[in-house]
Amino acid sequence: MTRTLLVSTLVVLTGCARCGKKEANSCPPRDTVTIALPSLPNTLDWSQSHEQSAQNYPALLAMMRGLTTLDADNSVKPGLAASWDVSTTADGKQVYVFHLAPGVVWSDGKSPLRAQDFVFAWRRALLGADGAELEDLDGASAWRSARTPEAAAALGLTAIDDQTLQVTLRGARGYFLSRLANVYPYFPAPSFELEGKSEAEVQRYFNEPANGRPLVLGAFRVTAWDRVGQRLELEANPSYADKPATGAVAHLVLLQSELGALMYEQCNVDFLFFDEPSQLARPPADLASAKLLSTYWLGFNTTRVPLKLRTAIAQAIDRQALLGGLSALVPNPRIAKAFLPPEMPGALADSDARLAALPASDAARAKALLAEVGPLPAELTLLVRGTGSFLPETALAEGIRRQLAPLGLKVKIITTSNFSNDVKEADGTLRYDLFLKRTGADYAHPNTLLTPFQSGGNHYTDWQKLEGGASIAKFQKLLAEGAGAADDARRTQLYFDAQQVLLAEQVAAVPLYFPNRYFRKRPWLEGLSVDPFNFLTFRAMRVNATPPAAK
Amino acid sequence: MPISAVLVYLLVVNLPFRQDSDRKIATSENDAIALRAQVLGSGGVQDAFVPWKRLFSGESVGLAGQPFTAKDLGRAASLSLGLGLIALLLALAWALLLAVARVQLAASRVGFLLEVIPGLVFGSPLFLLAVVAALLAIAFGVSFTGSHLLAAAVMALGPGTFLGVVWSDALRAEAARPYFLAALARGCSRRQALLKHALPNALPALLDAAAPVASSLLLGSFVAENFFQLKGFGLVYLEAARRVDAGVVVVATTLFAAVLILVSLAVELVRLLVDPKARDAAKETA
Repeated sequence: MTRTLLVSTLVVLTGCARCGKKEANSCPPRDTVTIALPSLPNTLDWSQSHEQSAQNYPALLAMMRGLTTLDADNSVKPGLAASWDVSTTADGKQVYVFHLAPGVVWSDGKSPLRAQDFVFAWRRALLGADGAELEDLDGASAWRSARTPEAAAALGLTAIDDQTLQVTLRGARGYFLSRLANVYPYFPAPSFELEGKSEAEVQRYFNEPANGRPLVLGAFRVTAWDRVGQRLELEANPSYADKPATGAVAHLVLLQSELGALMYEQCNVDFLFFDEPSQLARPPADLASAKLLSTYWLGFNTTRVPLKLRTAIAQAIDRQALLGGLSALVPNPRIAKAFLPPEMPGALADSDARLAALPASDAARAKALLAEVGPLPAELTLLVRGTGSFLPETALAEGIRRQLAPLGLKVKIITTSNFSNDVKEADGTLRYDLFLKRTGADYAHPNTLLTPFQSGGNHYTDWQKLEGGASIAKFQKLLAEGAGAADDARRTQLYFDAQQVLLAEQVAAVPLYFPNRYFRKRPWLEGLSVDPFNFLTFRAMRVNATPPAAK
Repeated sequence: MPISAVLVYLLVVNLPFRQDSDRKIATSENDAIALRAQVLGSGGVQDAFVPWKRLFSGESVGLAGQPFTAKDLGRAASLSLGLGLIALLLALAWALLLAVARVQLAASRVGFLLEVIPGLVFGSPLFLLAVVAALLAIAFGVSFTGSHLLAAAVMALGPGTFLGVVWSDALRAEAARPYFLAALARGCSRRQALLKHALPNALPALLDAAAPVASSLLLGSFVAENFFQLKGFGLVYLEAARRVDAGVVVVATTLFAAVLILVSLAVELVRLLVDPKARDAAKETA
């Protein structure tokens, strides 16, 4: 109640501030760039991580780098590794040998990055809150459970010499290189400072920044972390080689505040997520957007909604009309013809004829199918996030309700503030018939968006029970083959086939559209954007003091 | 205090565990439960002080949001304590002003207005006052220090008015006593008699109101810190409660209970100092 009142008040206050004297775009460049975020990190220990890791990414991506990095088209290119060799052993294991880039030093300016830094960090990361992220390493499970020197030695992770790291995976994992670029538990740690310390001391090293520690390899290092004040202060890493030639940002402040919008209007903040879709109808002049590698989809409780009804609903939903009717809330929507966005490496282009095999809007066929279903359910319940989302989720749910009503399908919308908790009972039984959800990519590979639909994944559809598990087994086999495919065309076909099983054969989900993320930033702040994984990217950030009009 | 610590622990730790996870693979829940057990113990009485032990050993107790350590919570508490003390001083000053004015000006034109003020203050929800004050602070670009003072004033208004009413009623009662009339007969002005003679005698009545005033200031700190976005203990507590961050809630609630207990204790000590009747009663009991 108090929170709702607070937010409402702030909206009013923001409105008042807009009527004030300061014009947001007239805010001059400053030495310190201040960014308002929805939430700040809960740990700076990238190896240990935390149960809720998403909020750590902006800061950790500013502080660190991985063995690889991504190009503008999301393809993998060298990062901390200058090159790598890949081979496969006789028993099907995949071996990567990374050759570290020469001359990379930690932020103390003198200590070189060594292969041992990866060995130390990854061993710790496997035991941390995000250990599952490194499960593909050969011997990972044994190390996580046994934690013995023997298990450590058997782990597929060896520093051959200071510059050469050998990694053995349990099998072919085509997405491995993409993951190294983004997934922070794969980042190295300064082993020369941490070896021999207790786990508590190591965690303090990261979480109580002081005297230039923790050492980093990214564009910024932390100078202060005020957890109560929800403020993280960073400064430029003097040893960062890829800093912009001009306009490098010397100081960066990340803060979380309910007053972020107001602070932006009053020139106290230079970047702000614009997460209120209802205000997109009258966009501010400095509004920008980023295309996300993420999919917004309708999910079915396949236990309660039979296949024919699922297919009929999938065909009854006219995505173009649904999103066209919400153009004020979702400007220029990217309609989803498949689950994978076309910008994802390994996905089909929108114009590809193969996409016709997936369910599309067809009202006549939907009606015909419904006639075959027999008595329709009196009501279908649809669960949707009511708060905490940057998408107009309740409006989308309402649009679906309207589209299904003419077919005699009555939909009751239920909103939640805790989706993953409310979607199922304590014993795992799904509570509702339909739900709406966004799934975002963690790395630039089709595997990331389809992973939730594997057994043990958070797909909330119960589709693992269909046909005695045969469908999900077929799906997982295709994913495994896709992960091992060396040829791009073959990989694309395999992942499309997997989508066909999910979306056409079993209709467990209906992809609706690929969302964008909106934000505001000062015109003099260049290179600061939201990456396809929905994380702020600071690496190329620079200040261009020349007003855009004068350029 | 140990009793309140145990009770709060048992209540909070045994609430249903709600974890909103956007993870793709459903392995996190068990890990989250394990982390929760590490920070909070098993949920039995014997583990009621596990969060405190973690704090004293330099570890954090925040589970769902920020990993707060003793240092973090200490900083937040010191801000809130400072804010509370300023609010208390403002409340006392306002109470004294209101009490004296209500007694002195009862028969004048403004007497009616002074009688209306308490009703207005008590009838206005605290959050409404906080909203208006926050709006004014922003509209006039109030400084960092100014916003803290304004927040303290918002916190102080209700308790100060309550104290003012209690105090003025006590003063009126004292003003009807023979010693007061005798002081007037000896040539003292009414104001002098009030300040010199009636005021000290009315102090014990204030002490009776101290406990509800302390609770009211505590509640006020939650509201004021929330609306003014002051990063004090009240805001930390509200955020932790919203996220069902049991570790922080356990520690914070116990601390709040401790503050209220210490205030009650301090009030009784002050009462012994200023109230001869209380001193006599204590001697008799001894």
